[in-house]
Order: sequence, then structure tokens, then C-alpha cells
Amino acid sequence: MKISQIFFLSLKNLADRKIRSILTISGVCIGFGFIVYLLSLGYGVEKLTTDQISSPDTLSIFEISLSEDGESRAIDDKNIAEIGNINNVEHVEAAAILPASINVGPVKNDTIVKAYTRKFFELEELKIINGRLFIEDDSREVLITKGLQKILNISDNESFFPALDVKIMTNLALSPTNESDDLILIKSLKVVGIIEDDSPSVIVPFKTVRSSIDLVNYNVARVKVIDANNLTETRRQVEKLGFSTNYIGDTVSQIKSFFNIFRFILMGFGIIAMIVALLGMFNTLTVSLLERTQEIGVMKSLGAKRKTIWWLFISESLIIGFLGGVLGIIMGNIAGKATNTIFNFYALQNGGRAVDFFYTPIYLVLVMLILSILVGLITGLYPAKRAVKIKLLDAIKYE
Amino acid sequence: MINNKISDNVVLGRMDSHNLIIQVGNIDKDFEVATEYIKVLHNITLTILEGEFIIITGPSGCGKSTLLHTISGWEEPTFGNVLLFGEDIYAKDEEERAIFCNKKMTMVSQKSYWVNSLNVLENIALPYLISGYNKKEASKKAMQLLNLLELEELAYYKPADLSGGQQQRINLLRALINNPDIVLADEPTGNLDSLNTTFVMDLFQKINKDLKRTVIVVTHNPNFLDFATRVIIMKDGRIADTILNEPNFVSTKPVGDILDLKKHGLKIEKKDWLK
Repeated sequence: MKISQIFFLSLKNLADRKIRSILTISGVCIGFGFIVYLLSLGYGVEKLTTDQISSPDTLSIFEISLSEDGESRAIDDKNIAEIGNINNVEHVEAAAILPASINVGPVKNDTIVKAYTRKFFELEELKIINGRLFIEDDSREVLITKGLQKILNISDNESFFPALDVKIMTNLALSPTNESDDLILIKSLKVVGIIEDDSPSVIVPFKTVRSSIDLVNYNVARVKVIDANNLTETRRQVEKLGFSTNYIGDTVSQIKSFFNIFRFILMGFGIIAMIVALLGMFNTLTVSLLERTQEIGVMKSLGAKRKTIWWLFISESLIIGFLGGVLGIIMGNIAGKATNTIFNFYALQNGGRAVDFFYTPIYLVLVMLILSILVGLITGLYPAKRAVKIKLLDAIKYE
Repeated sequence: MINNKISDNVVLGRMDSHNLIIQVGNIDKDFEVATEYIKVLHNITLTILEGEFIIITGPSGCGKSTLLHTISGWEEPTFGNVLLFGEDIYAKDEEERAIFCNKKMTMVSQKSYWVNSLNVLENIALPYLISGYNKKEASKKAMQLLNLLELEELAYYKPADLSGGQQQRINLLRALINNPDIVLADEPTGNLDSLNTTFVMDLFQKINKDLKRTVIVVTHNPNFLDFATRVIIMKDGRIADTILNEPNFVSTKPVGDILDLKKHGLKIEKKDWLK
């Protein structure tokens, strides 16, 4: 008997016992759905966290900073050129960060001035939520953070963005020719954009700062590598030269290992649900075996091979497992999306932000599909083996 | 009254190597009941020629069904062997035996057993599917068979929803779909009223007379003994007597297909059928 016909027969049998089939498939569906739901939550929260701190581009960038103990090499133009010569380094860009105070009309506030080039701004992947970036590295335009916007009570309307004055406190380490703690005033810088950051700071074009302060050393640089896979090696070379480095990927991998444990725990709950579903499925197949004993006898009396009888049961459990798995994946996804939507609805009502904290990677779907087939196969093995062994006459007389 | 051994010799005397279809050789069958063994068949030897219509009869518990099951390959004897077309069926493993026997013969049981999820047409088609035909061929053949007995309108019913008489007709059609050389039947009319009984027995006779199939029927209904070419009477697990209705029986080869029954004037009185 052809396998396709055996599957057809199994489908007929499942359709003939509709309620029981639906209940069994639902059980498997709930088991798989629960696992998919929980794992998607795990993956979603992880993705949310790592996405916020890194984009794929971020992972090809590391930072050079001055170490706290002052042992690291200075970041100056010569050293930057040296780093730029290392293989796999695409670009090195430096920036200076200095304490300052600002005045907007009569309002005065302490803040931090970040002297960034456009390129550095790009490498730091800062997000402009309103307005635009300064046009040139020597423009008299600045960006402020959302945090500072709040403090200064600046409107969201671009046409009302004010101009401000900054008083930068010089630092011997960065500008040895200036006197220490000198306050350098840069007047009337036009605010052109707001960036997404809650701490108060001002981003001033690099050359605009340098035209007022004799910057020789910088306190931070960003290195973009050509091949992110060899970043570790490049970073080691830079460290060998005596620089201190940070890499966001370090944090990402710490988060990843945390979420691996988190997912493991979630999966534990899912597996319990799954085991309950599988016991239900196994029970159904065993009952089906008893109910169909006579049919097995009929099939055998009509010359059905052992293989046919075996497949008859395996196909039934494969169908239950696979349908349950597919529906479970769909249901798990729908439930995740629904939870997400409800959560976001309340978050938005309470002034929060909409986020996706459910994420089902495609490989999870594939693994679940394969698992559903395996589950079907394993659950069907025992009833199938028993069915094959039943003697024809015993089976046909079984009532 | 002819003694068992003599009658077999009579048969053997009439056979040649071509027409010998079933040879049952010195069969014993014991059943284990609790801790005891009960001997159901005692040293039975029986030779059946191609084209015979054999009726096996006898009181309940005489072992006639067991003998039939032994011939059909369903019940392995404790001792002795069964040759079908010269091949020892119990020398084969269970699966080979089932395939071999199903190619040559078919069994009609008293009660009709179904694959409940399938409709009438699909149940009839099942043996055809099992022998490897595709669904289209099998459905076509099953429909032709239904047409033979003018039962097309029942094709899409579930067999279990039909009357006993209808079920037995469909059971017969399923048994005949593979165009078997040998038709075995175990009390085929046991559950039927007289009209249905007559129809079923007539059908067996037609299959034997017109299509020259070998037919072996187990029955305790004495009315049909005349249908047979040979009647075997069993008692206490032994062949007690043999009646040769046709002492000059000449063995024949099967001719035509089951569907040819129509050409031979199968009488169908529809109003009786749908009871």
C-alpha cells in the first residue's frame, strides 16, 4: 500500500473521530504554543536589550578611551594616525569631552560639551529625534540632548530652537597651552537638533571648539574596523600599542549569556506543558490502537504488510504531532503579538513607548517543526509496534 | 457413507498435477485454554481440486472454522502442513504468507468487518490499494463491482450504517475485488434472513459454476449441501464423512473476471436487497 494512501487513511480516521482528534491536536498545540510563546519572549527581550545598545554597525566599532589610572597612551593626532595604519582599521575618529556651562538668555546650566566631528557623530550612532545635524565641522550650530531640552524648557518646534552660549572649562591634559580651569566662552551657537539622550549635554562641532581652544589631546576615539569578525584581533593590536579600549560587544555577550540562562528557565516551563500534551497524545494513540484492533485485523486479512500497519499508526501520530506543532507555532506567535499589543496599548496610554518584546527567530520555527515531527514519530512508535504484533485472528475477533 | 481415507483416495485418484489446488496434510491443531491443551483438529488430511465447490459442515465446535482458517493461512497448525498450489504456506513467514495467500484466495466471514472511517466504496477498494494499485484504479474497480450488484447508491455510506444483508453483499464484493482463484467463506449466511441467504449462496454457486472458481464454504445450514461438489462432514475435530455429490467431477481452470458474472445472468431483485 502506498504511503500516500496510508496517510489518507490516517486522515480519514482522525476526521472520523473529530472531537478526540481536535482535543489531542489542541493539547500538542498548547504545548508547542507555550514553548514558542515563552522562548519568543526570551528572544524578544534579549533582542530589545541588545538592539538598544548595538546595531550591526556598532559591532564593528570599538572605542579608545583614557584609562582611569592615567597609564594609557594619550590620544593625539600622531597616535591616531598610527592606529589608522593597522590592518583591518577602516577609520579612526577622535573627540573631546569637556565640562561646561551654558546660557540660554537668562537661564544658566552646568553641562558637558562634546566636541564631535560629523564622522564621530555617525560612528557613535546617535539618534536625532528632532531637527538635524550641524552642516560642517566648523558650523556655529549645536545639538542638545533631550535631557537638556527638558531642563532648559525648549520647545519641540524647530523654528523656536534658541541660540546658546557655552563656557568651556579647559583641561591641561587636553590643551596644555591653555591655562588650567580657564573658562572659554563661545557665543551664539544655534541649536539645530535634539538627540535621544536623557543626560544633559551639548554636541558642538569639533572645529568650532578647536578654533577657541588649543586642543592637542582628546579623551575618546572610535575605531571602525573593516571586518567585524577580526575585531578582537585588531583590538588586541591597539591595546598592545598602549591604549585602553572598550567594546560594546563585551556587554552584548554578557547580556546574551544572561538571556541563555533566562531562556533555559522559560523552556523548562514549556517542556512541562509539552510533556503533559505528549502524555495526552500517547493516550489517544493507545486508545486508538484498542479501538482499531479489529481494523488492523481487517487490514491484515486483506494482505496488508507489517510495514503498512506500522505506517498506519506512525502516520497518525506524525499528523497529530505536525499539525499540533504548526498550530502551536502559529498560536504562540499570535499570543505573543497579542500580549505585545495589549502591553503597548497601556504603555502608550501612560506616556511610555511602544516596544517589541516578542521575537520568534526563523530557526526557532524550524527547530519546533522538526521537533513536532520527532515527537510524532516517538509517540507513535509503541502503538505502531504493538499493532504490528497483533495476531490476525485475535485482532479480527476483538470486540 | 464413505470413509475419510477412502474418499481422499477417490479424490487423489481423479487428480493430476495441474488441478491440485489445496493439500492439507496431517493437520493437528491444539488450543491452549488456561493450563490445558484442547485438540481441535485431529490429523486431518484433505485434498481439494481446482474448480471444486466444497461445503464443510458439522455441529458447533467440530473444528470446521478452524480448518478453514488453517487453509486460509490465518491459523498455523500445531502439526502438519498446508500446500497452496504446491507451496507450503506455513513454511513462509507471516508476511510472505499473507501476501501469497491474498493473491490466490479470499475469505468471507460471517460478520462483516470494516475500516470504519472509510465509506463503502473505499472499503471495497481497500484490498486493491493494499495490492499496490492507485486510488483511481481502485475506486474505478470498486464502482464496477458495486454496479455488478446494482449497489452504486450505497457507495458513499459508511458500511456500519447499512443493514446486515447490504453489509454482507459489500463484504462479498470486497472479497472478490482481487479476482481470487479460491473463495473461502465461514458461515457467510449465518446472520442473514432467508432471501439474503439464498442470494449469497446463489452467488457462490455462480462463481463456482460460471467462473470456475474453487469455493469452500463452512456452514451448518443443511439446505445448501446440494450446491457442493463435495460435502465434508466434521465431528470432534475429525472428518467424519464425505459426500461426493459429483462422483465424476472434472477439475476446471478459472475463467473470466468477477465482473463477467453479469454476462452469466446474475439475478438481482433489488427490492429484496435493500432490507
